[in-house]
Amino acid sequence: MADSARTTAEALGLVPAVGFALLVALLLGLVFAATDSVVLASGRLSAAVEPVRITVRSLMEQRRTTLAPDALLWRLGAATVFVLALLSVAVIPITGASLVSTSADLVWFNAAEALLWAAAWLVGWGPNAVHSLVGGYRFLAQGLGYELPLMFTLITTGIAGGSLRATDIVAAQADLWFVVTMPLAFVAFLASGAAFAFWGPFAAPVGTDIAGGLRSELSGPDRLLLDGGRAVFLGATAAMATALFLGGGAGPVLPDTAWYVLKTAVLMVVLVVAGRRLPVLRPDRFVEVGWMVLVPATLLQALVVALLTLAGVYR
Amino acid sequence: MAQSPAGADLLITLGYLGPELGAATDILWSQLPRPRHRTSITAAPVPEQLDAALKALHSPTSRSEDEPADPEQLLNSLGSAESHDSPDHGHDLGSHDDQEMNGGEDSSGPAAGDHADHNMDEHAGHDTGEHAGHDMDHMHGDGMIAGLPMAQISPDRDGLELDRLAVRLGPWLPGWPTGLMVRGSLQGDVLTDVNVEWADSGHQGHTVAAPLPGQAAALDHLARFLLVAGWSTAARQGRAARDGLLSPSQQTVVRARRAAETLARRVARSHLLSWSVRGIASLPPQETQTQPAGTEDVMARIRHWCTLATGRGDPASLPTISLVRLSQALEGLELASARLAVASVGVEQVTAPRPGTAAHG
Repeated sequence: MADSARTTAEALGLVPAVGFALLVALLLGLVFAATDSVVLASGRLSAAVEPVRITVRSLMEQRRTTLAPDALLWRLGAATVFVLALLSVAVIPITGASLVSTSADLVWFNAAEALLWAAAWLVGWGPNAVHSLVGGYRFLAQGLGYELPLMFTLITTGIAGGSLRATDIVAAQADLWFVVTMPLAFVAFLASGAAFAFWGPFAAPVGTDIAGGLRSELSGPDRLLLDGGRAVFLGATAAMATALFLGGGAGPVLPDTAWYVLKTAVLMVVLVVAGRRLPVLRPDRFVEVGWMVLVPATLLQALVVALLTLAGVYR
Repeated sequence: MAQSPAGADLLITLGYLGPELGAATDILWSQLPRPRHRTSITAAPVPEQLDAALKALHSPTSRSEDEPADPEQLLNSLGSAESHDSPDHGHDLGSHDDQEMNGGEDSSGPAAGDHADHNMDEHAGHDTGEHAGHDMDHMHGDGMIAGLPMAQISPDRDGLELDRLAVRLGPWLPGWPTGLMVRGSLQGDVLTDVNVEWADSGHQGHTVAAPLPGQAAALDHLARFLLVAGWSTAARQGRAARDGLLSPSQQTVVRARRAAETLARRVARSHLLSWSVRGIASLPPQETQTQPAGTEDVMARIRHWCTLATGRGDPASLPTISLVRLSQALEGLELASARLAVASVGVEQVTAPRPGTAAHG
């Protein structure tokens, strides 16, 4: 146990470990964005360079402003989305250890995502524009639908693992991957990831019908921070799901890290392909499903897992 | 295609623009972040001109253009009727109810009253703001911000006192026909006082674009709707099939027909889409001019477009609706529903009688 709690900060020293975590976060975001643009281009592989091109272009592009914006909160909002996404990667044990490892890793991950409520709202409200503001409201409405199910799924893995520490949860899956006994929580977790990054079927806050909503007034570096943050969050969701449900780095022959990366990559492709097959769900209708279906279903899942834990299924 | 000027690099106008569209284009242009390039294509050869525009965008000279006109001045220079309106989403603060631009001094009148009851409005967050420029009390005090009048409060459909923001949707929203403008008031995200019109419809030389052949037109329409509905992969397939149908190569046309068939089946049978958009903007059958069966709500109309997109059905039965009927149908809809509703119908191109055009605020 003491060994599994080791962090990359202890192994590499703080500065290299932070650098490594940043690199991992940016790579997760880049790979997700590349996969997404390939799927959007109906499988044309050359579209994979689009995120790089867009990044370069955004860095050279002028920052826009609007009439009488709340400039401070607006810029802060976009930057916060990106920072929160980076922070969420800190507890993901890709190499078997994470940058930080506390007795409340799951809470850390959830907190990064919960603070996103404020950040996304500020992005919507800052530019003093209708479509942007409507996007902000849509995000909050959607949040009401996914937030509780997300918390229940996280806590379900905590119950089975007997700990909120990510590495402990990975260790608890030595015999049986959690996805086997909690498939519903697995799907709900991935869906929540798409929802808090407002992507795919949950992209209503940045919908075309409101001219891009939260993104509608952002250009240059600000737009890059928001979109980059969303991509990193989605990559982090796939990586976290690997730790929570797919046994982390467990696998034959290949080293653990290779297995971890492989599982994460496969999960990303599955997430993108599935997400892009669907139309956008209107938040007002999704909230109903969130409360009437997802909340009871994830609670039931937690109950089943709790009973299995008592029966000693997870050691 | 960019969703908003913030995401655009290149502004291309095709054909001649009337005065109204031209003025709105200038405002749109003022909203593009640099580096940017603007070009107008009015004659063949189009592909060469597009290439030239791309090249100009990437050349260093495009970065040293003149200082762009101030959008605030542009808005003001459009004259009193236009000064309250904004194209698309450029300046959504643009116009507020019927208050005149010079109404700012009327701070003791009803315009500035009722602020105490203001906590239900969509800007509730403003009230606690300490940032000087965003202090609602301050703004209500002089009734103006950045040269524009503040929103007024009035009862909404649910009996709440909400801010009323005059908006103009169009003339170029993604997925909507170019030139279509919906004027109205937004309270929260509910549209009221709706008046739909075509830009430059009264202008001499207003031309209607040559229609596409039936099946391609239906595919084009379907793709536009799917874009508004947020189904970008399906929208892309629709556009690809539309272009294929117009190709001179017989082989491509056959392939495009098959793609159209697949797409139409997928859209018409999508439970998720149906669950998400059904029940919106129901129109009694007599309200659609040519009334094919099953045009009650958005989903039913989309199923009809799907049938037409496969090349079956009578192309003459494209569901179209007059501007007046459309205005009535949009009354009281939420912004999202209104966007879907307009995208789900064909809008009559003829200039119908336009009640209240002169009276708009």
